[in-house]
Amino acid sequence: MLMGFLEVLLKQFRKIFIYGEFNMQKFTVSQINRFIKQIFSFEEIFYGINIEGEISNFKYHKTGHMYFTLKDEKSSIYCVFFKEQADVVSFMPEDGMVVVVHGDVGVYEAYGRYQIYGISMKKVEEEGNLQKKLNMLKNKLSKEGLFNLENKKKLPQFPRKIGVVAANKGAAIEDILKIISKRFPVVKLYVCYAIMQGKSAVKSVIKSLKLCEKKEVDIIILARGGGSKEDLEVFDDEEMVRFISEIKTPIVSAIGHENDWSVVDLVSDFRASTPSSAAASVCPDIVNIFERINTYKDLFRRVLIKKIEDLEFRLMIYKKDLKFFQRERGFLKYFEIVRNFKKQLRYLIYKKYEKCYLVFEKKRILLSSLNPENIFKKGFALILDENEKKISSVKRTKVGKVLNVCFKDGDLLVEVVKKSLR
Amino acid sequence: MEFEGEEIDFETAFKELEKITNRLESDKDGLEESLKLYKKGLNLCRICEERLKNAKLEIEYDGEENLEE
Repeated sequence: MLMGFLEVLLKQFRKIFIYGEFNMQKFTVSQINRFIKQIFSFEEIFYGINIEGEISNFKYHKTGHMYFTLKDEKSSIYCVFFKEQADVVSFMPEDGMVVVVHGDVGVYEAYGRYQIYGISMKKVEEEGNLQKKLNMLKNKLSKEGLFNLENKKKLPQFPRKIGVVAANKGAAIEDILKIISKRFPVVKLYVCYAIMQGKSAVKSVIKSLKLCEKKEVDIIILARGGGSKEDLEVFDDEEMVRFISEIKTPIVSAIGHENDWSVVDLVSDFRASTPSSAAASVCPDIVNIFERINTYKDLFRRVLIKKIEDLEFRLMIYKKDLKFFQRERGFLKYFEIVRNFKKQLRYLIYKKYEKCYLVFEKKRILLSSLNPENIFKKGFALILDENEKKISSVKRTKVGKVLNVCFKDGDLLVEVVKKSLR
Repeated sequence: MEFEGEEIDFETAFKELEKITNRLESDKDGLEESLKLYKKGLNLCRICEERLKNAKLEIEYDGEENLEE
């Protein structure tokens, strides 16, 4: 019965795909998937095989099942371990680990996807080649300073123009447009689509980033929604990372899942967890701006009112002072008298001093003329007797007495030889 | 009045507004200058509010037309 059904199906497929005929007979999706599953189940090679590869996107479900992708440099295959088999795996698998999975390859009909149904698993290496390469790249770029915080550019507070690089018709671009149009519609948006997955993605993203720079945007959002590690590995590409590190415009990245950081996320100026939060991080919220404007208005009024009140208060004080002086004007007269007295007193003291100085000067001159040294200079001498007494008259001495004659520069001892009176 | 009828964009107006706010807060100016700043500030508030109320997101599209591979 089953064989008969398969034969009919095979026949129909040949007609459509090989001979190019088109038959009006239609199949449902379930029928096709069932058919493919049957083909797999007839192939003995798919049973009990060993496949070596590197684990990626590992998920340990709360039901106890394990899901992951097994991959090598070129290709990947989905793998599932149901609880019964997962329980006997002796280690906890991790992304990047190289393992040999023993199991059957079959088709999961609901998704039309072939996958490995694991039975057991053996660890070969903690870290596979792909993971090693990625880690080496991260280390190299980190040593070169590409991830340094001090190199990160500051995001402008009010961007005039925002560039967005994202996939055409993706959820990412829709989210970004929605958030920016709601938060800050004043800005101009330059949306530059790019291929965000696969071989041509690197060149396409770089081209779009260059276009954004050419348009002189103030900030660039590079966004890509979630996906498997393989979908996102383009954002670990060295060429793209280096290009982003050299770009002059601040760049905000939102690549993949919240917890998985791509190398692009490490090099970008700001990393957002989702495209929506990237959009929110590049522009202020209009609601907050309105609030700020209102605060400023209040502040202006308050400052001005305070200034006017201060001035009024000062004016009041001045008025009071003025009134006081007017009232007490009588005192001013006395102040004036005292001031005049002071002046007069100062004048009198000065005069007195001047007079005293003149008297002193006269006396000084007189004293100077009486200085005996000045007399000596004129040729006079002082005569003393044997008792050192001054002889001012010839009557005070006798012939034969010895006298001391004192000059300016020395003394003479002389004897009186003769005496005559005038 | 300054900025009246001028095509000043939101960013410039808002930055100017912040400057005026800081200056008024610093209380360095006399009454006459403060009054001038006050009027200028209120005018800038009005310009900013108008720009925000009338704003409509302008979008220019470019780049690859391809969808994801």
